[in-house]
Amino acid sequence: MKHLLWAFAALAVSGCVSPYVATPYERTAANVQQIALVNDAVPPRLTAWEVASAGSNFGLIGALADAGIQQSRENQLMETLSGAHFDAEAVIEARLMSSLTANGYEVALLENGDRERRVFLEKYEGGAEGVDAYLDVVVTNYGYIAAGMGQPWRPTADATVRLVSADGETLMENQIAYNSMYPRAGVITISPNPEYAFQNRDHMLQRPDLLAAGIEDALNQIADTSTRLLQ
Amino acid sequence: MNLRVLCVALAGAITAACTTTPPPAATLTYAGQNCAAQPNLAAAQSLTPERERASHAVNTPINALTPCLTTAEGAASPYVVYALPADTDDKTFAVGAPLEIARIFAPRVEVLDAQGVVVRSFARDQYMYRGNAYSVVFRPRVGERYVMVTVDPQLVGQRYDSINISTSTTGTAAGGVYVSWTSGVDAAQSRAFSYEGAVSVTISDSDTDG
Repeated sequence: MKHLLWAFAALAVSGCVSPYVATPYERTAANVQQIALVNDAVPPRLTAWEVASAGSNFGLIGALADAGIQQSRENQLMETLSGAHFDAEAVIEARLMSSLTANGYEVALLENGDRERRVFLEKYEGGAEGVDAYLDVVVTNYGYIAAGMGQPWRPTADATVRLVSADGETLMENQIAYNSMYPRAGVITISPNPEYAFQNRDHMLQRPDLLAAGIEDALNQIADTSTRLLQ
Repeated sequence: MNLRVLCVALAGAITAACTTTPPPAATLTYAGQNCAAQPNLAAAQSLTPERERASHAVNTPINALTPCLTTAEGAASPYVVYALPADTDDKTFAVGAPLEIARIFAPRVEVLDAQGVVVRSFARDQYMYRGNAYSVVFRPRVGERYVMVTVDPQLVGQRYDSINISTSTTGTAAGGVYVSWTSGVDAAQSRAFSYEGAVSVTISDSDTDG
């Protein structure tokens, strides 16, 4: 099923899809000083997708076999990262807080519970008194990706980011893709850090610290880019 | 005789088809001549599409024939000026340079008022790689009339090293059956910022049926 969704995404990108149009930020006009950072940025599960796998070349049977292999791979990666005490949510929250603070904002984390879906919140409320805007960073996918059989595994992450004023006006909105397979025109694209590349599943499982560091680097770059958009 | 000529012609055609022209390399020096002290606003290219549409793109090659400007720092630079549409409401502009195979024009984007005075410039970290372009994104403010793109000499010669992943499908017909195979591609690319290349402008209009 996940493969079908990716395939549809690929078709949409390769077809006549108009470029993504961002909403640029006007810092002076917006006059935002205090930001409430929306919680639950990262999905509970990572992905570990081998795009052009052997199975993907053998129709439905191959796709079914592939789905099982991918699920097993993802479970093993999550166990390995858990063993390394890696917390993706904590990583991106900490980086967003520090980079926004360094950029002159007062930031507080908004405890708004878990999202039902990986999309922006419909309403922004509950910020501390005096909050000017809500920053909503939604990581829609993160983990590892290999272009195909025999190709290196590298970190991947995709996010949508939005700053909404306390009275509901969208002040900034963008999409960010770190080592994404099908980045749409107009989306901010970040090339993967070549320091984090693994030959295969065994290599990833043998190096939990490096495995975690690769994802941490990707999420940090998503956070830093989000802050750059608010300069 | 005719067969020999045909063979030679076929060999020539095959050779021509197999010969690849290397992509343009980065131009790392610039000796502009007859540089203007002020941008020629009368020669500004229009960014107004013939009919309203959701997305309108303008690409301008930058080469030895591109007019030269002496910038505020006293450096010679090729330059291009665009006239913003009269109605900029609901329009978002992405201005920069397309990523070519081996080079990227080193853009410095500035926004001018009706008199050609620079009223807005962008810090280097406001430029980002967006799909196949290196650009800044903005919405015009009141009083802004033109966009000017020159070269940032500090950027020329710097490299953008990237890794791109994709897939490639090949097919063969055997025994009346067509078989295709998709494999992964993980390719490193290195491009240098250049005095020559191209400038790209994309105007997105959120208030149109087109």
